[in-house]
Amino acid sequence: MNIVDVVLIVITAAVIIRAGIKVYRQRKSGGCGCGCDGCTSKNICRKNISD
Amino acid sequence: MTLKELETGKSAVIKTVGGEGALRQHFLDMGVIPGAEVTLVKYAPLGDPMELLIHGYTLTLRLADAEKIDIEPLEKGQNSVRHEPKKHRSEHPGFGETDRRGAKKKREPLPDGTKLTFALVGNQNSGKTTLFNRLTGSNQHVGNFPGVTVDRKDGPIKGHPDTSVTDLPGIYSMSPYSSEEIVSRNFVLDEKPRAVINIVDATNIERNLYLTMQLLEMDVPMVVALNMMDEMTANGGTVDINDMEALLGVPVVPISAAKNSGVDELVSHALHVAKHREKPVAQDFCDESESGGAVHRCLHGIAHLIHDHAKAAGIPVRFAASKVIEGDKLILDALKLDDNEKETIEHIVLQMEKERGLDRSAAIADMRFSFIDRVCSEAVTKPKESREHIRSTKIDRILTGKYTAIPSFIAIMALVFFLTFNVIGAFFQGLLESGVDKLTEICDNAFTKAHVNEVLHGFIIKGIFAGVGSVLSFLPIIITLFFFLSLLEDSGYLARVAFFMDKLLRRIGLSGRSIVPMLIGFGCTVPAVMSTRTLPSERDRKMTILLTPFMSCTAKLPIYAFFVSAFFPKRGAGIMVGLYLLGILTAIFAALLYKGTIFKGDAVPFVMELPNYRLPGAKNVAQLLWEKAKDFLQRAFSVILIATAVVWFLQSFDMHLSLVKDSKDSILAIVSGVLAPILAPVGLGDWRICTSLISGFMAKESVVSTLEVLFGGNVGTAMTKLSAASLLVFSLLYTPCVAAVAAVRRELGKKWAWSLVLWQCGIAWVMALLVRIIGTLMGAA
Repeated sequence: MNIVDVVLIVITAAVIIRAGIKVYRQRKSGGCGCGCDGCTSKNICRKNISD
Repeated sequence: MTLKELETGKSAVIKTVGGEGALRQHFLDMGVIPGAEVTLVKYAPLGDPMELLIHGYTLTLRLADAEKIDIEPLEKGQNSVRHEPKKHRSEHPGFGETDRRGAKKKREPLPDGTKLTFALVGNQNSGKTTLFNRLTGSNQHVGNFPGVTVDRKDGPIKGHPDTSVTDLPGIYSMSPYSSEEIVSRNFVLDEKPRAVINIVDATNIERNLYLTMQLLEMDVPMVVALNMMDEMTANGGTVDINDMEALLGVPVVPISAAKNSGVDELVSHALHVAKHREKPVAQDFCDESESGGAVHRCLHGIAHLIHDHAKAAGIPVRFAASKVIEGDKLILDALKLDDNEKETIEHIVLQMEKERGLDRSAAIADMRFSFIDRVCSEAVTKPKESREHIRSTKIDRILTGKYTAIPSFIAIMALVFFLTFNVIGAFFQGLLESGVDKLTEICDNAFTKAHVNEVLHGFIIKGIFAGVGSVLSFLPIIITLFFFLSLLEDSGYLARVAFFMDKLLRRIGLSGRSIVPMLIGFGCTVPAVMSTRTLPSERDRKMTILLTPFMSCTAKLPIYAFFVSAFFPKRGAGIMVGLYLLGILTAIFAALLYKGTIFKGDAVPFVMELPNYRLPGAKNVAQLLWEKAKDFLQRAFSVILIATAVVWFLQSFDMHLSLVKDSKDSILAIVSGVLAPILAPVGLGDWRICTSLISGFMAKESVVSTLEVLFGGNVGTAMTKLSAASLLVFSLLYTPCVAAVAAVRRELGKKWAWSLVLWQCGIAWVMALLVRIIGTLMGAA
């Protein structure tokens, strides 16, 4: 394993971990994380809203 | 004579409004009240619904509902004006001349540092979100059809960190007709904002003031923002702000949210009323001298009777009294009235109905519109027909014309797809693809020269570069399609599509309003599911949510483009259009099935306002495109990157975590092999295809990246044309991605969301099998 391998492993791992954190946060906040209504809404409870 | 029998171009005065329940109340709230003048503009191309001009705005109504409205035709030149316009104009207030609205009870100002909360309330399409963006400096999406905002959004006013403005969905009244109206009403009643900023479309002032009156009854500090004043004055109209302030009893500020004029003055007034807790000047909207004062006496009698209950429930008495008369069940329940009180109220209301000659709801609506009439005759000089309206009428001759509407719609959609897939999108896709290939080649050569470890080299080039790179190249196509969809939305054309598609959609159990979420579904299912909140019936909403995933979203485009270029390069556009049509046809089939089984009954009536056509704002469109591009890139470098890495790892190692020579022995092959027998009958029994379909559940684009990684770029030779066709159909119809399923879950609950996943997988399997059978019979195997 040479120095280039080590650098590449570190960069690749950092990119994947960052992506993982992003996916986790997006899923936690709801929606697909794109910033549209589905992702930014406050999710008002609709259970009590009848027809 | 009923409204249904009125001839095109003719006017009439409404005599009675039939029907019952929430819908009738909605008609009344929209200004369809006895005494109102109405003009029939035209019928939709299929003969139903009809387009009416009432209180200066355009309303659409179905013939079945129009049949319940009795009218008296007006002769040419005759009009039904109740109040003569005032001749004299009062002096306009100068800068800094505040508090001309009459003496008010002074209250102690709130202590410094208290958070001032504001609710932004107004009719649909009155410019609330544009104003919200101006106030907060945010970039929320705005559109030109009723109901763009489906949920509340919060943000502090620029330069005032101790404030918070909440942008609420657009509503026409405080009656609980649609869920937005309940959301907005509950927000004002329960969350008690320090002040309300009521945005009123000055070009459509009469209908907008109907909501203002109900907000005034709610007795919260309030400022009226008269929006689109630039448009009004440009067409010769004006508002005597001084008079209007005196009549409404609250500050009135003329603004143009789109041009950012008057917004600073609005902010200073809003801060002032919130800080000093300045409630509207108490006044009677019911005129003691009108019709013997029947409504006046009824309202005051009931207000006295329920005073203690309203106070205990925290509902303003005046508002509660008018809602009790209208028979608002939610308010009646909250008041917890005694049986004796209910009986007394009923007697009072019956007496009022007898004396007034109108039923309870119509009498209250008439009282409100009478007051509005007075305000307008005193303070408003109506503009001549606006340039925007004249332009819209001209454009509508073609776009909603009897014989031209549907051909125009087909032509517009065909042009959008042609430009996206064959011209603009395809050109930029080619450029980006060659860029990605070049970068991959440079990195590959560099790694070889640097003697990078073989496994690492393979992971980066054949895993990440091949997977993420293949998806990235589809960015231009997606952006181009979104560009055209946003043009259609911002121009006001989508509302017209709902108008002329209503009759067709009713045949499959839906109303024209359902077309809007479905068209948004061609972009992304998540906002499409959210936008169903504007539908006033739970039945229509559920049904529309279950149908939107059949509309092919842009995330599926990379799959289509990938297989078309590999297997059917000469028939690209035809296959693309065919797939979109197949999605629509399957949705129609599913809708008919739902209509006959789980969603029996009729669709909601179609009552909708048609906005004028407007030129889409360049900034608005550019901002939407930037957001979509950012979203796509984020997805490519988050969920798709991870999916690619996981797939590469699982296909490179066996159960003992040893590197495999042939991926047939890998962990992925063993796990996906379990699914293979289920998909084998449809020709998708290869474990690599099963894997790509599983990864597509995370994000549809990753079907392509996974296939690219697993087949090492040889998909074209590893699959037959028939298998590719089956895969295309399966990808089109099988479960929506996890984000869309989460959105469905939020709206309808877990049970519906998982049922949708299984149901769509089932339909996809059957349709893919049909494709295989038909293909085999035609000798395509």
